[in-house]
Amino acid sequence: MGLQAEFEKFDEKIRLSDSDLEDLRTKRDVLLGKLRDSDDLPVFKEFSQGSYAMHLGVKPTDDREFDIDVALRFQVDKEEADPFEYKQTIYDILKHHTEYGATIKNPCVTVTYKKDGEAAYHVDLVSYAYDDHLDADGQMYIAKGKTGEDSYWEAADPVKLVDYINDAIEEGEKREQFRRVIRYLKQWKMRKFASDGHGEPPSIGITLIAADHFTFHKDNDLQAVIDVSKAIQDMFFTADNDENGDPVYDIQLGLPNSLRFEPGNDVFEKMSEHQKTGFKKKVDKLVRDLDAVAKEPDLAEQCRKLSKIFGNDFSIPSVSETSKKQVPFIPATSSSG
Amino acid sequence: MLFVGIDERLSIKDEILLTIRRHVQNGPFRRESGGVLIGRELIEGNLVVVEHMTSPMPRDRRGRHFFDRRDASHVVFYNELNKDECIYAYIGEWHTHPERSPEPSVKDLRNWSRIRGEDFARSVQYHAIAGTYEIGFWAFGPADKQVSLMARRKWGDLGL
Repeated sequence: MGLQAEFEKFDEKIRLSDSDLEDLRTKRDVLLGKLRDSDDLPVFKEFSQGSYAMHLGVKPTDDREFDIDVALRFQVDKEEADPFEYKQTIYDILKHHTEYGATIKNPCVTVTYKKDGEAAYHVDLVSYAYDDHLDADGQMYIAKGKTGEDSYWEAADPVKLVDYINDAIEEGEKREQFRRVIRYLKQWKMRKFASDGHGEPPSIGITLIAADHFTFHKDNDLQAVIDVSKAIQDMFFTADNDENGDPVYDIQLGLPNSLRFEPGNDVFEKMSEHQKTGFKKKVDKLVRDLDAVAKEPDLAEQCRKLSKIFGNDFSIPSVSETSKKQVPFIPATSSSG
Repeated sequence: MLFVGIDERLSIKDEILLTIRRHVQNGPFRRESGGVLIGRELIEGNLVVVEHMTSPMPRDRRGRHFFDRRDASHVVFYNELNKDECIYAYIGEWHTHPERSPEPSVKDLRNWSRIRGEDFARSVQYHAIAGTYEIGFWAFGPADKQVSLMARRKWGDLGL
């Protein structure tokens, strides 16, 4: 087996499959049933967004939770709807649904479940309204804010965003490689960044850069992931110097112009310059380490290096798997001069 | 380091080169050192990975201008590596020369020719000679007396 087969084996281990989420989907449907039965909420159409909808989900590492994102498209006009009211109502309906209750976050209401006594899953419910709910293709708005005071409607285009990513690369082996590459990078990200705070770059940032810069390399996921990693590296620019004279880096990326999001948005906006500089250093190391893999001729050694980058799910073939059998021979003596 | 041999590529692990470098005759009284190079032939990629070696043993005979590998421990080490599964091949000899840029001596060529005649497992051997400034790798075979310099690298360029 060559390196490509090892990459595909790795993908098989990390990718989130339908069965991984079966439990969570059942839980989601119970939640949605409760919301639908409530007289306090207007009619909504649900829609699956987030990494799972884009076929880019990876299994969470031990310290993280499975999650599923559900868009609730309320059939209302935003002019007649309060951006906080629905979130508050969702919260009130679901706050006693699980032991962990619900939390109102800036972009959504989160309901957390536990498994074996630990928080293990969460469902993010995202509320949307329309400019004109009779025009299903019209502008949509996401309800943002954590309190009644700071809430607002912000232009969003969630359905088209999922389509944009799903259709970014032509169907077939190219699209499959594109999705694998993003899953590899998400696995790398999960291992190299802490999940708390905003130090970890958002997945949508990496996904969008990949969508714009992916190049297909037949049977060569290594080169494909190197190309996207270098594209991420190239997005950084020097913003400033810190007190020691070391460069401080910035990275900015708007959602695609063809989509109808609030103008001036930046998917990396929550990261501080310090966090972005940390991100840059990790990407630099990733590119260096991947280049070293490309230069290494020995398959087992390549896999050893890759398992340092991507974790133990990247298996290392044994030397006996990768080596030819030999007829034993060694000269008993030798005379050099 | 990586170099192209006769119909195959060879990758010499850094640890091997580092060990050989420790033996270079960079002092007026340092004797020649030597041992064997051992590697694996990969199933894919037409590559030989040289990742094991032996170093001078007590019963080897050593002088300023000769190294005679006589200690049985070299063979024992090789056999031990292949104890469970025979995947390690004898690749060739290595030894040092008290000169900057090494060249095989008449004695070396005679030795390599004898080994070529004995080796029924591989048709080409790769032998290294380590000078104080450079290391060279020579292929011997497949025909007898067919000796070719395959690679010559300055120690400083190896990034060790």
